[in-house]
Amino acid sequence: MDWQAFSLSIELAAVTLLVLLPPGVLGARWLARTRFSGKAWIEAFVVLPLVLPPTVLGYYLLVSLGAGSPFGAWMLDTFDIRMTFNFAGLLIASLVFNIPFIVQPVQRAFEAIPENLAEAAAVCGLSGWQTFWRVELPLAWPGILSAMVLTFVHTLGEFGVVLMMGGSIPGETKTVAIAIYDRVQSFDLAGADRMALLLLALSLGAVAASFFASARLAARR
Amino acid sequence: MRAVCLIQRVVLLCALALSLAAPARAAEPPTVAAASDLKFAIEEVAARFQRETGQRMRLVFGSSGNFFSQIRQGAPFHLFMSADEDFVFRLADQGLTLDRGRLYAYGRIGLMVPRGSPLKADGELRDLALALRDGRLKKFAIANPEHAPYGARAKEALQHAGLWADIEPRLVLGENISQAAQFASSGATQGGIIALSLAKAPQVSALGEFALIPESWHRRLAQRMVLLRGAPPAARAFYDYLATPAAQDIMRRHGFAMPGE
Amino acid sequence: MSGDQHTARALRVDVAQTEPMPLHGRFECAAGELLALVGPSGAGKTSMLRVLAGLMRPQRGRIEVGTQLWCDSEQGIFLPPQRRHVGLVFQNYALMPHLSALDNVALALLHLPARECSAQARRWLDHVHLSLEQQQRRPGALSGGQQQRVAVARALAREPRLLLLDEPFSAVDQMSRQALYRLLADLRSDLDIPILLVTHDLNEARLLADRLVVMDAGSVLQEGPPEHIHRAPRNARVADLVGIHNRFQGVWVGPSGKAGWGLLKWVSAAGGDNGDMLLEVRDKGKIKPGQPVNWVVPGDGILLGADGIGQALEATVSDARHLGEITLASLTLQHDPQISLRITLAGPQRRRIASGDRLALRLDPALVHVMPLHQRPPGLSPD
Repeated sequence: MDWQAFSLSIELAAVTLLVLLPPGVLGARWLARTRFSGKAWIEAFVVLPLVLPPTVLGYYLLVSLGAGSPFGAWMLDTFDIRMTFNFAGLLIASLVFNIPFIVQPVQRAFEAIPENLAEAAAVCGLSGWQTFWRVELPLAWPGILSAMVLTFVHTLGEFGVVLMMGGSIPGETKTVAIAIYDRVQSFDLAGADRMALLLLALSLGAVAASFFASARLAARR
Repeated sequence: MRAVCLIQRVVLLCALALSLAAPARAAEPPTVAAASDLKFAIEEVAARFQRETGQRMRLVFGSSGNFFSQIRQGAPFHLFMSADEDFVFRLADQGLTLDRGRLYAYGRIGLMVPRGSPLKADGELRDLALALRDGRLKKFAIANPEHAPYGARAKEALQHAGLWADIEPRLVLGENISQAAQFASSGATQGGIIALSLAKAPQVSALGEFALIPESWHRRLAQRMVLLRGAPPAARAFYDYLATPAAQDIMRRHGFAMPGE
Repeated sequence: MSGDQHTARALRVDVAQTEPMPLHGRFECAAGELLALVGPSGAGKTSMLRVLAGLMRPQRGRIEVGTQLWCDSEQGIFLPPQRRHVGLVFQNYALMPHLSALDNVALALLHLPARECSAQARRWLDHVHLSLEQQQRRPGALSGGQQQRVAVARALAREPRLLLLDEPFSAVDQMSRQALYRLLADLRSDLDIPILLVTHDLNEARLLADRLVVMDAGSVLQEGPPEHIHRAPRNARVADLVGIHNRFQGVWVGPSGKAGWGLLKWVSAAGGDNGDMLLEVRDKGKIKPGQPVNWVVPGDGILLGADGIGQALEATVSDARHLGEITLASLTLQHDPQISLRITLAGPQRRRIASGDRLALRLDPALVHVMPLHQRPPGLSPD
C-alpha cells in the first residue's frame, strides 16, 4: 500500500477544497442571483473542464504553465516558483478541473432558494452579508456539502490531468490514481487491487455519507 | 441557528487544515526519471545504493519520449536514464543537461507469449508470420514506437521480418514498454514484443514464455543516461555508482549488456 | 390619540412608472387606519407593496411616512428595506424553513443582545398565541394559520412604522381565517401605524378595511371608504372590480322637473329601444342631456314588492338557487327581456321563489348611481 500517494491525494483534495470553496460558493451565488446577457458564456466556461478530455486540459495547463511558456518562465525567474511537476502545479490543475464540481451544484442550491426569503430577510433588517450567512448559506448547505464531497472524491480519482501535469514523482505528484497505474505497470496487481479497493471504499463512503447527510437535512426542513 | 454553527465549525476546520498543509515539503531525495524497461533492475540498484551510502533516490518510471517532453517543460528530474541515445542528445543540444551523458547498458527485445496463447515463442517470428496468416493472431502488443525506444525497435524487428504491414492493424500500443509487457503477458493479447529486462522479472516470467529476437534485426538499444542541470551531488553519486561492478552485476542479471561487451 | 398625531405618522404615496411594468397611484393612509388594496391579479397591488417595502425602486415617486422621507426620485432618495422599518407579511409568509418559529422572529431583532433578542421574540409569539412548544418548531411543522401568525409576529417584532400584509388570508382555512381576522382587529387597536392589506377578496376588504384603494392594470382607479365605492363607483371598471353585478346602460335624459332629480332612460346592452323605460334618479348636474351612461344599483337598492318608494317594475324569475342562508336569483324585466338583474335574498326578505315566478320590484332611486361614459363607446367597455 502506497500510503505516501494516499496522503498526497488527500492533501491535494483538502487543499483544493479549501482554496476553491470560498470563491466557488460566492461565484455560484452570484451566478444564481444575477441576470445579464453574457451569463450563458460564463456558465459555459465553468462547465468546460467537465466536458474537455482531461488530457486536453492537462496539455493546455502544461504548455501554459510549464517553464517553457512565457508565464511559467516569468514565474520561475521572478518568484522562483515552478508551476508544473510539483504540488503547486497539481494544485493549479486540480483547482481548474474542479471548478464545475463546486460551482454547478452550489449554483443549483442557491437557485432553489425562494427569492422572497432574501427579501424577507432584508425587510427584517438583515444586511446582504447577514442574509447570506444566516439564511442563504444554511439553506444551500446540503448542496454545498455534496459539492464538497464530489470535489474531494473527484480530486482523489483524477488521473489524466495529473498524469500530464504531474510527472508521477513520489511524494510530490504521485497521487493514488497514478500510483495504481504504476502498480499495474510494474505487475504488482495485488498492490493495485488493494489501493483501488481502498479508493473505491473511500469514494463510495464519502458519497454515501453526503447523501445520508443531505437526506437528514432535508428531513429536518 | 444550529446550521450556522455547523458552517462556522467547518470553516474553522478548513482553516486548520490549511495551516497544517502549508509547511513546505522537506528536502526530497534526488529524482531519477528512468525508462520503463529499467523498472526492476534500477529498483534493485537503488536499494543497494541506499544500503551502501544511506542515500535514498526517488524513482519515476515512464516512457523515454514522455520524459523527454516533460524535461523540456521543466520537470524537476535530476538524472534521466533513457532507453536510447537520441533523447539524451536532443536534450543536450538544448542545453538542458550537464553534458552528453554516458552509455550505461544495451537492451534486448524479444517475443513474449502468455500462457494459453496459440502462439509459439519463436525468436525468429516464424510462427508469428504463420499465425498472422491463419488468423490465430488477434492482437499483438508493442510499446508506442512514436515515443518509446523499445516500441521503435519492435517496429524495426517486425519490418525486418516483413510482418509490419500485416500486423499493424492488430497492434495494441502500450504507453511505455512496461505497459506493453503488461498487455503481452496478461493474456489480453496473444503476444507482444517486450524488453528482456522485464521478461526476466519473476512477476513476468511466470506468466508465459519469452524468446530473444536476433539483435541484428534492429538498431541497438544503446541506453544512455545524463545528469540534468541543477542535479545535486547525490544524483552524481548515483550516476557514478551505476558504473561500478556491483551495479553492473545487477544490470547484467536483469538482462542488460554492459557497454563494451 | 388626536387626529394630528394620526396624520403625523401617516403614509403618503405618489408613484408613477412605466417600466418594467406600469404603476401609477397616489393615496394616503393615516396611522391606525387599515387600507385595503383591491383589484384583480396583475393589477399591481403586490408591486405597490414592494415599492413601499423598498424591494423595488420606482421610476418616479415619493413615499413619506410621517416626517420620514423613504423615497423621492427627484432628490434621488431611496431607503433600502433595512432602513425603513416596515413590517411585511408575505403572501406565502416567506418564513425561513431552517429556523424555528422563535428564530424566525428573532431575525427581526438581531440588533438586540442575544438574550434580549430571544426574550422579545418569545413575547411576540406569545402575543399571537403560539404555544411555547410550537415556538420551537420549524415552519414545516406548523399549520398554515400558525405559520401566518409567526409571519405576523416577525413583522411586528420589527417595530414597524408601516405594516404591509400581502394576501395574508389566501392560504389558510376558514376557521383560522376567522381567528386571524380577530387577531388583526386586536392588533389594529394596539398599533398606531398605517396598515396596508392587499387582497382580492372584496368581502374581506369590506369587512376589515377603513378605506379601499381599487387598482387595475397598474393604476389606482378609486380610493375611498368601501360603502362609498360600492354606492358610487367612479366608472364601470371600478363597479366590475368591486363586484357590483347590477350594472346597466342608459342615456341621460335631463332634469325631471323635480329639483335635484333627473330622468334616466334604461337601454339594454343590445341597444334595443324600449321607449318608456324611464327612471327618476338623483341629478348632480354633472351630465349633459343625451349623454350615454353606465349606472349601477347596489343589492340593497333593489326592493321586493310593488308598494313603497321608487319605480315599480315587473320581472320574471329566470333562475333561482337556494343556498344555505341565502337565495340567489336572476330576474328578467317584463319591459325588456334582454335586461336581467341579480338579487340576493336573505333574512326576512327571503322566500321560496322558483324559475318562472313573477315578481314586483322597485329600485331605490337614492341608491342608483349614474356614471358618464367618457372615452369608450358602449360596445367596447371592458367587461
